Amino acid sequence: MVKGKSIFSKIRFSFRKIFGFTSTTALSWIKTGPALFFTFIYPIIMILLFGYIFSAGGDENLYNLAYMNNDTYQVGDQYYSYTPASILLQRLGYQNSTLAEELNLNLQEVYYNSSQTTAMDWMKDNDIPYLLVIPEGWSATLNESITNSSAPIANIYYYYDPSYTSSMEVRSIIDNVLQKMNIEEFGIQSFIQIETKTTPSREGLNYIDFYVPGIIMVTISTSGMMGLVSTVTEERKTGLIYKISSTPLKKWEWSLSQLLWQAILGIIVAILTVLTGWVAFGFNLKSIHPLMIVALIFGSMTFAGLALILAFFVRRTEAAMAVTMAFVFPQMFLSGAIFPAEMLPSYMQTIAKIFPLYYMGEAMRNMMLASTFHKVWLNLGITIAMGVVFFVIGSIITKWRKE
Amino acid sequence: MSQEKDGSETRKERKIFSNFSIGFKRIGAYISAALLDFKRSPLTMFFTVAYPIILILLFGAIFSDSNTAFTSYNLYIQSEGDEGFLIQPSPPILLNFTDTLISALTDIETNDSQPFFNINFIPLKDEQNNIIDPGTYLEEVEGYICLVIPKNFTQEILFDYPTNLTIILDKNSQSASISLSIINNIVYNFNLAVNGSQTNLGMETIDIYLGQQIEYFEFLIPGIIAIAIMNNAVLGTINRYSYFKKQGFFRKLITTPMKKRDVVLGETFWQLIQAIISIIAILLIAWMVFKLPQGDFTWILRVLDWKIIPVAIAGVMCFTGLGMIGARIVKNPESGTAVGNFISFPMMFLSGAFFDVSGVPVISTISKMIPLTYMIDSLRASMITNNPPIAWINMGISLAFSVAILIIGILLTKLSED
Repeated sequence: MVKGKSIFSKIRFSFRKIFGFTSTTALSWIKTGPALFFTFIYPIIMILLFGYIFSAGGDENLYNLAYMNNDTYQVGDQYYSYTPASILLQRLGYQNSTLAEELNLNLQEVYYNSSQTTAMDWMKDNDIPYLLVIPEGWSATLNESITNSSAPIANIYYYYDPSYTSSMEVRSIIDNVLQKMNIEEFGIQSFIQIETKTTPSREGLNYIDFYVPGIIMVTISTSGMMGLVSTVTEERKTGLIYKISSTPLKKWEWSLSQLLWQAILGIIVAILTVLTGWVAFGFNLKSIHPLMIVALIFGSMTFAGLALILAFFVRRTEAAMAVTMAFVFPQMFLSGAIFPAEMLPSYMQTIAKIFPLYYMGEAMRNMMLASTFHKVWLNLGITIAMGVVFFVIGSIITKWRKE
Repeated sequence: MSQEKDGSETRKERKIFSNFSIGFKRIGAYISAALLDFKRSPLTMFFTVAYPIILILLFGAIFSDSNTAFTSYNLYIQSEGDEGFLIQPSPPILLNFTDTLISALTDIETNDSQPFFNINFIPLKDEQNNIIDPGTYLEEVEGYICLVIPKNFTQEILFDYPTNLTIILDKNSQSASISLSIINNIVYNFNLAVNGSQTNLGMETIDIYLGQQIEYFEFLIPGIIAIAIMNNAVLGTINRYSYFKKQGFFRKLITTPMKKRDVVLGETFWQLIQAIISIIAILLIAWMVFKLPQGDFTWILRVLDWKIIPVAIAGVMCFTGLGMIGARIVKNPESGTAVGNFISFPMMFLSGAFFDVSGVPVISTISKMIPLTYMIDSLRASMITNNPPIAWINMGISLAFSVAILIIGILLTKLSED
């Protein structure tokens, strides 16, 4: 009876120590001021930045398409203003803002003197990403091909700067418009039509809904690892850890309190990111699954463990930060949280699998769809296993002696 | 009288000269101290050499043409069965548009003869004889695009046109939208062929740098260089200044003949040396890893342009200035890296160095307000696209930004503080 009571009181005492040390960490963290500000502002900046670049941009992007219409249509002495060239421009959204927005194009008429410069040089000199040129006589060639099947193809010219990745999207928009025009102007019968549908569970979800979990994990891994590595190396340098070792606080209690603090920070970061995503981009709050908390806690545990391991091998604060960055940067780009992993070459997709963030991201994404939910368990299992293993190793190898 | 005047002028000249020489000596001393610090600071070494190398290896591997590991797009197809249509009984000629369509999709190849699509078939029923819904199946296998070919597609086309081909896709997937545009093209050409018609309206596409044979990843190199300069200068300056402030070095410095001007110039020169080390590391790695294996031995000579130096100077001035401004708000050196990252990280993505932001409404406007954008444009025009007018304009804007920001940084820096 007395023995049972003593175990119970030991556990209670341990908990008190863990919470006591966690609150000390929290207090000293709050007192640093900028750290408080940046831990909170960092995820907000991340979600606003990537949300705008990758998701909100999708429907609102407006590509400024420069065009020069050299075409005039003349029969005898009569000039016609309503020509195939003008039809093409109308189909591209000329003086029709609704259509232009639908196509994501913003037509801008330009002029350069083709006897003095080439389109390519003019674009280079004026930093123009894409230019559409309707050549002289285009309408005439087109009209001729209606009556004469052996007439040459009436070509327009699309000049593009390949350093702008959007040049391919603009090209595909014009291509689609031309194909439709060809079919309609020449009375071509469509034997096959394409009907597109969205995958069933994703109908109510947007890109941002899949992006928020990734950003949360990136922020936790980056700021969590960097924060803990600098705290541990700094406390070792100042001898604080050595002093703590002379108190009743045990090493595992100290490690757990560090983890607890990282998990609390992780949850705060997650809430902030979700709220910002919701306010700025309409993040679907229904896509949050309770299991995400588990991924979040064990994710924090993984990165806390990794931070303790790194801090063990690399003694100096600066060196430890450098090694941490060498780890978190490739992880950020390869894990699929910022770049879609499917765009990476196959061997890089394999490399991505060595980073813990990959499994956390996969687990979180799979939780969002009923159809992929069966895949959650493997990825969540790996996340939990990594969390436990890394944290235990990190706690064991951390030494409390004065450097 | 005139001899005395000559003498005083000579003394004045000598004094100016000796002031200069002392100034240079002080700056030299600051640089050699920073060099020692550099050798002892793995974080600075990381940002000067390792970080740009990681970036160039990463982006080179993703975008270089030498990358032979192109991943075919995963296209899922579910066909509900096609009996075809016998157009000639003897000798029998069976028309089967399902097979024609699938073989057309299978035959598409990239420029280096790799299949564009990796085709997977979705069965109609599972082992328990339940009907498989292609959309749900696609989600389960984490695919992004699926083509559903209707039953007796051939006869539908011949006798009950227009026939619908259903495409189920993940609307957020870039791979799905690329695959869709390819399938659209095939269907368009199929419609023309069945009509016995041809494309009367065409579009010729012309790459404006066609003659220069530039790989996409080369366009990213100037961005990586400018980002390396920015990270070095912002983080290095913030860390050093906040450390100096905490240790009271600045207060000690004002008791020496060292002037604020010498400290600022010393810091800027030191950042320039680091920038040059970064540029050399980036170009050498890009050349050795991605260009030498292709047999392009002269690439490094082609990209070297003297205009890199003034742009690097502008970058160093600008970001050292920003670092000084950042150092003013940092109270302790521990939060230096956080503040530095906070300043540099958003700029890295807003500048369009890695992602084209020209069409994104708000971002494209913000992009025009940050100096990094102009530095990257100037470097790109000097090194890669060989376009002097653009290089000069952007260099001018970069220099204007730099002078303004550096002056603000100098004015805000106080050696007497703390």
